[in-house]
Amino acid sequence: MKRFLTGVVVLLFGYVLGPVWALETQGNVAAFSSYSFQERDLDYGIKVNFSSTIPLDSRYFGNVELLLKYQDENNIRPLRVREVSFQGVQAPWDETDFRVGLLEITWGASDVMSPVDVLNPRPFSRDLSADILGEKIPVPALDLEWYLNATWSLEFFYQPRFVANFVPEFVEKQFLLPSLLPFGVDPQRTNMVITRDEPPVSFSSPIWALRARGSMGAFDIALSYIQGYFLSSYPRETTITLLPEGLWDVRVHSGYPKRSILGLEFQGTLAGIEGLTLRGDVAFVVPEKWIHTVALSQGGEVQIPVFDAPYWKASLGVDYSWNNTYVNLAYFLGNLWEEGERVSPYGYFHVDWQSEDGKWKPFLNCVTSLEDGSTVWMLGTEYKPGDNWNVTLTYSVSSGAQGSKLGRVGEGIALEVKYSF
Amino acid sequence: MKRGIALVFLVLFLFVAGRVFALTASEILDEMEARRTQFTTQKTVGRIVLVDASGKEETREMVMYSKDEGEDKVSIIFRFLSPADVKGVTLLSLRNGEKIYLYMPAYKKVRLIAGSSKSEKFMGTDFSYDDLSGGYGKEDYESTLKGEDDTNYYLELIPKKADSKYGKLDMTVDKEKFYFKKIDFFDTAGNLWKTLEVHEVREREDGSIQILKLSLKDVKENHATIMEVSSIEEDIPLPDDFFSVRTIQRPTL
Repeated sequence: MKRFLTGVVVLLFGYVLGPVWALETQGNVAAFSSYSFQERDLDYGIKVNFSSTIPLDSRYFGNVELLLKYQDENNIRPLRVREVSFQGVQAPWDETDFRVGLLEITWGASDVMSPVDVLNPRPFSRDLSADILGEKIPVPALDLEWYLNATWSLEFFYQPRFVANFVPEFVEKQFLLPSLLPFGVDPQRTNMVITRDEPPVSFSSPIWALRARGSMGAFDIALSYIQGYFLSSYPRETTITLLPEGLWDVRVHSGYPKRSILGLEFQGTLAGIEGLTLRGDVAFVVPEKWIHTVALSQGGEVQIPVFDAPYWKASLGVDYSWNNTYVNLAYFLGNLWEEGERVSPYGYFHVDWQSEDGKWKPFLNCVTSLEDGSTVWMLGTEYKPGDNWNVTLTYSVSSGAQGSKLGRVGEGIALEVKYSF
Repeated sequence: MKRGIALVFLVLFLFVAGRVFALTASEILDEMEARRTQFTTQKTVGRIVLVDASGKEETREMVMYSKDEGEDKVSIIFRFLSPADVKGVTLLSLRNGEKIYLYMPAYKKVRLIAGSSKSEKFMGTDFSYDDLSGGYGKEDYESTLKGEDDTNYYLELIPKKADSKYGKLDMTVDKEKFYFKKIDFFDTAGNLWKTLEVHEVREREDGSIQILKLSLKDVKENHATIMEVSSIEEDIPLPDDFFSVRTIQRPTL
């Protein structure tokens, strides 16, 4: 079956990309694999990133970015569009630039996990590599930036159709089942069915955002406002029924709560501290009040508040580089998946060093939950054997109690070989 | 006797005149500055060749826009056109590096470069961000004329900035055309670090000098960078806000 799928993917690749190949293109091919020592599970796959810009005249461009990805399980789909857009530079007016189409939007000044970079949903991955964490699902949208002068601009984002994060159903069940344990549900003898309501997003009721950005002395700052919905679903109503044969039937009805986000981004230097760069993003999230109602098998119902108050998320970091060495120290309030009362603090440390000949770049990443002390260490190296080739080998290990924030990551090893063309 | 006195005067005259007409280090730098190509805006297309210790070469094509902002300040936009793994990577240096930004198309993000990064290597070349941003003017260096011969002046430049990564520069200046042929960069401990050599120049009708090919060798790391210019356009019309974060995010410059 896997061979068949691979064949289909290769055929699709040739069929879809062949005609575009004639244009000026760039991209990369990456083969990746990771092995979990605890689960004794090997994940592997291959992906092709491909992008092409087609100048229509001096101010208008067509952009095509495709991602062809085969992974052995939990792939959203083998051929994904990263971006297909029509771009105008100094168009339709001299003071404006725009893109319209299926877009990938990147907001935030932080190098890692920005809480304001939330306009695109994300595919699922068990891998924690920066490459994978950077993957996004494009959204149909218009992005227009109006430049008031050389340093200040106002950006408007308009999205008339909702697109959610891709979460495999087994993962969603893994998250939901523990919350049902207090009601006597046996996870081993449970049949769970999840249905979801899409939010009412349309041309007249879009997701939208505004961002003003510019320079103030040594700092670049941006203020943003996003009006939209959470990109992962949350349960609204659950009905638990104990069937005569002793099985639990659980029907979960989920939805996507509304949210407003007020964001601040900054990057800059401090006078008197030469070489230090501060980067950070702060988000104040105002969620729709969201109650999870659980109808119990024995009658009666329980109400569990999911969102009932605004909360903060943040990524604040400082970086420094000298003698080919780069150090980044950051504080996160909330990770990519934590929202509401689940938001918790983390410390992050990264150091890398590039060899004199530029071929080797060993690195160390460390993330610690400041709530329960669980920690993930990632030790690895990038190696550049020749023009356009890049190999990354990473060993990761976690520590922490059962059920802790990061303890479940476990021990593993990952290898990626990438060729750019 | 009269002949003897006349000879003594002639010798004295030649000795004094020789002293009067010899240039000082400061005057040589002034003359070099005067011979530098004067432009308001400039577009340069060329290639960079990286040579590693084993002699293996890696070629990168680039386009560079620069603008004289006045007060000896230059703003630069520098974009790699090849190879694939750096294509589109663009550097913006505002007013001799007062602010430096890097745009990496893969991340669709503009990143402010840290102050300490300005002395780091730029994209694997032997040039630092600082090297790309500035020149070798007398406002930044104390200069001394250490000697001369038929074809060259030999200057010693000491950086005025206390935090400079270089202890001194030994500069060889062409006596006829007043451009630097060679600069040896020494670290603060006095060891030779880098050597910059100019291999090809073009003298324009107004006497100004354009450098067409130069190499920078890092002696410590045994690594070299060769920069070769294939075309130069000067005083091209560019909008006032061209040297901005907005521009470096464009698909084409």
